[in-house]
Amino acid sequence: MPIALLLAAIAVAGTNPAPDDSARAPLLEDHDVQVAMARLATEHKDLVSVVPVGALPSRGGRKIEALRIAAGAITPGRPAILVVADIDGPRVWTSGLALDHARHLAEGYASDARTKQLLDTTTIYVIARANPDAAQARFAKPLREVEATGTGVDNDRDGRTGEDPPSDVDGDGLVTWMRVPDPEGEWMADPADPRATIRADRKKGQHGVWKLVPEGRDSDKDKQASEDPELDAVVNRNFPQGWKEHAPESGQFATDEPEARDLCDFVLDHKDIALVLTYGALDDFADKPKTVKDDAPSVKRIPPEGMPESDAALLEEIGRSYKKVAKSHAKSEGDDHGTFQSWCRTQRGLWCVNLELWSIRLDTPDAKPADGKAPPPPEEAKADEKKSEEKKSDEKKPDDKPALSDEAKRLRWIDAKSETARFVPWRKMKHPDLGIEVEIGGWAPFATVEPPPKERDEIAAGELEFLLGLGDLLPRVRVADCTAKDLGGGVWEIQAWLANDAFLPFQSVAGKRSTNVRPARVAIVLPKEAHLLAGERQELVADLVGSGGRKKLRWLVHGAPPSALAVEVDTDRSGTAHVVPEVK
Amino acid sequence: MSPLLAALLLLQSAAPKPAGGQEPGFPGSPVNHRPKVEIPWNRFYDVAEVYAHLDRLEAAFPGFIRHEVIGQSFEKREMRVYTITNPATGKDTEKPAMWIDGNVHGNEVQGAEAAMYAAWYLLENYASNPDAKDLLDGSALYVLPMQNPDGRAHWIEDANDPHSSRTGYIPTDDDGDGRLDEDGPDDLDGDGEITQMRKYVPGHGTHRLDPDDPRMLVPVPPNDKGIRGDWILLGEEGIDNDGDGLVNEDSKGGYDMNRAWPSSWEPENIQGGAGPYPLRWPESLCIARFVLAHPNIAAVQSFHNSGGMILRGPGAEAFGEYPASDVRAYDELGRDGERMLPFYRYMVIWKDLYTVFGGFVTWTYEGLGILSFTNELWSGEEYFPDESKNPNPGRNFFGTNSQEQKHFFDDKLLLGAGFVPWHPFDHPLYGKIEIGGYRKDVGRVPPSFLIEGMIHRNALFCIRHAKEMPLVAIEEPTVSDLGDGVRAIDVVFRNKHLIPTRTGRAAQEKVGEPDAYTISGRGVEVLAGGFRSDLWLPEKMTLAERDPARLLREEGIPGRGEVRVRWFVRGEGQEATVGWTGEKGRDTSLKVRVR
Repeated sequence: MPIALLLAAIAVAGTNPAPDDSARAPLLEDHDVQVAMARLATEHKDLVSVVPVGALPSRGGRKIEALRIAAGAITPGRPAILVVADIDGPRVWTSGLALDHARHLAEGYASDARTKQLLDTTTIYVIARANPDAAQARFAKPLREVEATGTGVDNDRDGRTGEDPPSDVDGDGLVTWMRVPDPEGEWMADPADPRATIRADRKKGQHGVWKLVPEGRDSDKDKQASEDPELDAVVNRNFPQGWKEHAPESGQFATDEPEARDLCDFVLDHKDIALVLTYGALDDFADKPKTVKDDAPSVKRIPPEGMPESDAALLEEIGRSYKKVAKSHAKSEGDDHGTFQSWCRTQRGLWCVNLELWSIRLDTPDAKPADGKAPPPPEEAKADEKKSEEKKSDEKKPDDKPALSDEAKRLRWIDAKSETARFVPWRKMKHPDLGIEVEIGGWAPFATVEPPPKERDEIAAGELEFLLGLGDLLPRVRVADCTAKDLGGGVWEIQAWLANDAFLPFQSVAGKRSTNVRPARVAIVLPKEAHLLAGERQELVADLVGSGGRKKLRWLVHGAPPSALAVEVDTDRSGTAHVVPEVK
Repeated sequence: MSPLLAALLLLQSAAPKPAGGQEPGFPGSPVNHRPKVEIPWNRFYDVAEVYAHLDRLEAAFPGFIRHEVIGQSFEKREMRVYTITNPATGKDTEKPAMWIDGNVHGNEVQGAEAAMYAAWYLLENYASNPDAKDLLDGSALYVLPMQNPDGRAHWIEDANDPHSSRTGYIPTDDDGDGRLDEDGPDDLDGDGEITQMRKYVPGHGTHRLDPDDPRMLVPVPPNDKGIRGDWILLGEEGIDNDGDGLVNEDSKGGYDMNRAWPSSWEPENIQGGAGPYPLRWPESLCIARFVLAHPNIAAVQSFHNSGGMILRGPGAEAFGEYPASDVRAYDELGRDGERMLPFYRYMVIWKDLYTVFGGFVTWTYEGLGILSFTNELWSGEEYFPDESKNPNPGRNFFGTNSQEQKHFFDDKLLLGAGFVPWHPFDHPLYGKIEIGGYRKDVGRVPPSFLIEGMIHRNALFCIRHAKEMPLVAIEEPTVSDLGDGVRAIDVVFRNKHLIPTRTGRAAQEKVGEPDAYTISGRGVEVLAGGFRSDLWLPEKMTLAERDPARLLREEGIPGRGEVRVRWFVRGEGQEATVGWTGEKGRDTSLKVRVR
């Protein structure tokens, strides 16, 4: 049973009133996503259109599409923001959220000044469902959280591929987890909360008693349960940056999975994209990114991993404004190897903001304190300060009370919020194939990635607010103070400034390193009769800082009046300019 | 049939001469032999001609060679893979196969002829030569003569120089101005060649004319003797087509189809020509799909030019070194290669040549675990094989000769056909200049009379390599009575050839499927089984965890090595079949009586 229905069941039982689903970030099947997109395009013909993403359908035969939202003519160099949701399949709800963005933009254009400003100057692409095959698992029975949708490998090296996948052994409609007794097992119950399964720490004298495996049969009768799933390649591990060859989740080669190739091709075909905003498992603001010096040298020709310091500083600043408007408190645990996000940032030189919109909070206080008083409500608004305070108080704790594992902390949230359907109590049963008693239970599928409906609505509102402000950050070049000075004898000195008044530089340090961002092409346009006495007929400018960045341009021209000349700039994603010099 | 027995039978049947004094086959001995399909091996062919020759082979040797179209190039030329094997002895996919390709760089044309020659040679000699017969009976070749047919077609048909048309033909912005392929070289004098431009600038140049031969320019470095150059070199023939002040800075295409394979792939800023992601181009993608779909490929040879090299990976220092067991096999083939191919050196790509990320043979080895070589065909030394008669000895890295040597060769052995004499031209940017220099088919490819030798030696190097693909035999089955009806069956699985059934790399990275060692038989009960690790102490063994009748092993049978298996069985008097199954060798089995 999907969680939403489980929640509804609880609501009926009277524990907690819960709506059926989120209004602003509902769970949408692929078909619903297609319908919603088509409807938006029909209802807002002048603003919204549906554009294909790549040429290949997913392995499951699903096509990927984007919404293009823009007002007025799409002029050359006009920048675009690409919003990609559900890049990691299980976060199905983010598709609904992205479509909610699209709807608000389309509907708000006529009435809301900020929306109008954004859509008049910036194109917004929304790929609401980047990983449709994985998302479809959200609606299948039994319910199983699926990331892998691509090429399968022989995980257990028995000469067969995908012959022992996870399945619903206890018939409760959910594929959860199994604690399988094993003398070499590494897992044990958390002494602080035996529902939580933790890795035994030998330094503390602990030893494991279980193997922790996905719920499943032993279909190949090799005395191991669910050790060889049908599919292994994960779309968001199939991108070229940091691709890990030979890892099962990586796929046969980078971009072998059709969704990955489609997303790459979409980015390559849309050179107007200046910034990519993703809703997935990676979060730029949860933890400080690993940084390297802007000019860090390569070792054996391979550049060091990490974000150039200057880029990180700008991102941190964006993060500050994000935290003012957004309701997300995710704790990202993702690493970015082989992801779309790292390819965009490192290899395509795009500005990127990667967000994990929700995870279960780890700072919920104990629901049953020793003094028997009711627990104080969790202070969610002060989360950031709170976290560091808690850490300190944790350190001061006397040794007799064991520190809570993260698993136990998540269970506290469940208890406090009465979100009990998210965790299936461990239940002993004799495994039909292994012939021994195992425990089945633990996290329900999607329980750790899908916020309750009410929170989804709040998150959607905050994220839209953030998106509305992003267009103002994008670099836009213009030609400032373009003047002509008469030097006598028909010789004119033309002077101008290439300017960028937006927050972000013309390109990131990573972009410059990648060499994949086309520089601004600055040219002086001369009539036939004019001679260029000094200066570059055409110059490619790759460096222009933000917040009022300036670069001086100078030419000497003979044989034509300034009114017949022009300074011209073109870029892929930071505007164009054509300015006739003013006589000084 | 054992190769030895086959050889004996063949020798008997091949002994009598057919009527007319004509001996069968065309092994390379030139008297009394005539090939079934005459192909003049002294030319380079255009794309259609290459396929036409191979079509003739298909007609002459029906069943033994067939082709499939695996895709199309960007300009819609066919990508053809030819499969060569004896279909009567089993399907190609059941046999170990060698992949041979050429011409991934459009201008490096001779690889196509070398690959085609390997197919032709084996077909012509199948009926008469036991080695050729063994190869086509027991294994297969997959021959893709041209990885980059567009590049080849343009190099042959259009005005080019020896180095141009290396790329594929998808328009690409090389100079970052947002325009595609807008300023390539131009055949200014309309002679069908892209040669060089030079200009007389008395007292301001970097070169002077050689006093002995004014066709040649001699560098004049800055000096304290007051000697100044009178000439400058202005590069390839061309003008500033796009008016940006630069000449020839954005020619056709602009990427490298041998830098975009999936292993050790790095983006443009680290590896020029790599493109935005691996296998971006239609040619590379269809090749990769074919190779991935054929796990029976057990050897790879890719032909390039030039410099006289037998190259293996790693392509980049960051990779480290290959497993020692694989290096041993590489070394044996590489050293034989140096003897079969005079003037060729056996080299490691990054260490001895230069760094290559995303190369084809590094993918086939590092990604797929297949022993793979790239040969750089043709070395300048071959113009002057006898150093003692060379007035100007010494060679540079690519074996290129001095200008004087090149002119001597061209004047005396080609009657000057390879050189366009300098002639005046009025250039829109540079004014009065001279255009001239060597034609595109001088330097990186041999003259016609040396082509056959080059491709024969390289094709035979492939055959040398192909003959070392794994061949497993089951030997020395012994049955020991352990009492109580329990018997031990000991079997030796021997790989008779140099290449392991699974390379060290494949085992390390769990590429493909493990080898399987099986036993079965009606009434035969398999109690346990495993791999023995000691010749004298049979109890030292890796006991199977599960399914002792089907033992799996990640490590292959070493080159010319063995794996010893012991099974414990019950089944007095029954017949058991022991077998070996692997991706890169033919399956084999042997019957053993349990008693």
